[in-house]
Amino acid sequence: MQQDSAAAAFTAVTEHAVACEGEAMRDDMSEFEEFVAARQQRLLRVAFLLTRDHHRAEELLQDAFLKVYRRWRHEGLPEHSEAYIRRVMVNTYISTRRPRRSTEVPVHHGDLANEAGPSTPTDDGLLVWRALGVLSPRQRTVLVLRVYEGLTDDEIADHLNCATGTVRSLASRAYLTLRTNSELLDRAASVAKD
Amino acid sequence: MDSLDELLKDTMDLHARQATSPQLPARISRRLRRNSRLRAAGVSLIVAGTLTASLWGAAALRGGTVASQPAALATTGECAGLTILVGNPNPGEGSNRGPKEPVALRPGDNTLTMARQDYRWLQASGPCRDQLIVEAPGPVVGVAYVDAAHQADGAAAKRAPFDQAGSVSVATIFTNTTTDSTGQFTVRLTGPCDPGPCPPAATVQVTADGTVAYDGQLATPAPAP
Repeated sequence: MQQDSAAAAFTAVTEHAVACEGEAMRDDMSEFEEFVAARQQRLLRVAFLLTRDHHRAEELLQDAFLKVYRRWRHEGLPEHSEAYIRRVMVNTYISTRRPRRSTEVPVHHGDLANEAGPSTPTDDGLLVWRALGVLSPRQRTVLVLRVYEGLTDDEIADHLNCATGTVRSLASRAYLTLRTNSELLDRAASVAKD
Repeated sequence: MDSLDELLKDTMDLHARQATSPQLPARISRRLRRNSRLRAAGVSLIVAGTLTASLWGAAALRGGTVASQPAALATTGECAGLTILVGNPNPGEGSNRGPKEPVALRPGDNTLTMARQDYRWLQASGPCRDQLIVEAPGPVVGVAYVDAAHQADGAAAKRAPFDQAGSVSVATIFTNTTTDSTGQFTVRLTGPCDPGPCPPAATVQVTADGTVAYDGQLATPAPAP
């Protein structure tokens, strides 16, 4: 019957395409997995500082690696691949208007209060962390790249695809917001009294 | 670095240390593999859809029997003859979920069984095939958006138009879940419907159950030496 022939042909072509893709994918995948494993920890921390949420940080990093993988398969990676991934991640973060609902359960939940480590957050640290959350995504991105990643303003401008002057303006407004944060001001006032 | 910068650095260092995820590389690998399977499905849809359409066309030219044609989704009006097939891309290889041959969508309610993190192609032929969109509000079922380069995107979209591929149009849905669960997707026609959007041409209740492995692809990464 013609329907059986069509279905059989469809199946054969599909199987062949998937098998070919599978073979090529296996070779690429192991190399890319090594690439991911070497960089994911550092980049996950940057993603967390941007998104301030474990779920979103993991999703952001996955999205970035997926985009990079697509380029890897077609063109190979550019020089300075880690900076490239960071740039992809930053731009994905800023361009996302609404966080996509995660359908997967994150594999780790960091609980600041329960973490046993050499240091625990001070009151000032918690205030600063909260104040960072008030900043706009672009302002927070500039501060994370400048303070945590140690990038220059020119490098940050390259990441954000904007002028260096824009980076300085964003940083300036971010610092002003932090310095005039009421909780931080109250804290500074109480320390001065003591 | 002034004192505020020092405080910022200390704060960021402390909070960033909390972000650890030992299983994240494996999760990324799984997503990349799903993306590649979807891309393969997208490419094969274009090729195989054209081939299938040729065979269907040949049957029509030879006066093939009506019984050999799949049931139409629309039987009256300007879209009479519109047909949508839902297919299992790897029917014979480890996939024991759902029918092994393509099945035609019926108007109204349909049911479909798939594996978890599995996918199906949708292939439309006949009139109005260029006016179709597929919608899946999630979270269990997602739409793989096929862009202009016919590359299926591994990210889950909520709706996407069917991609035009010659005499057929194609779309891909997948189960975006790691647990047995149920979801739904609908196929509807775009165009002026008064008032509001056109009603669904077909609704599919999806049961995601069990796992599936595809020949030629590793289900899990090979163990490190």
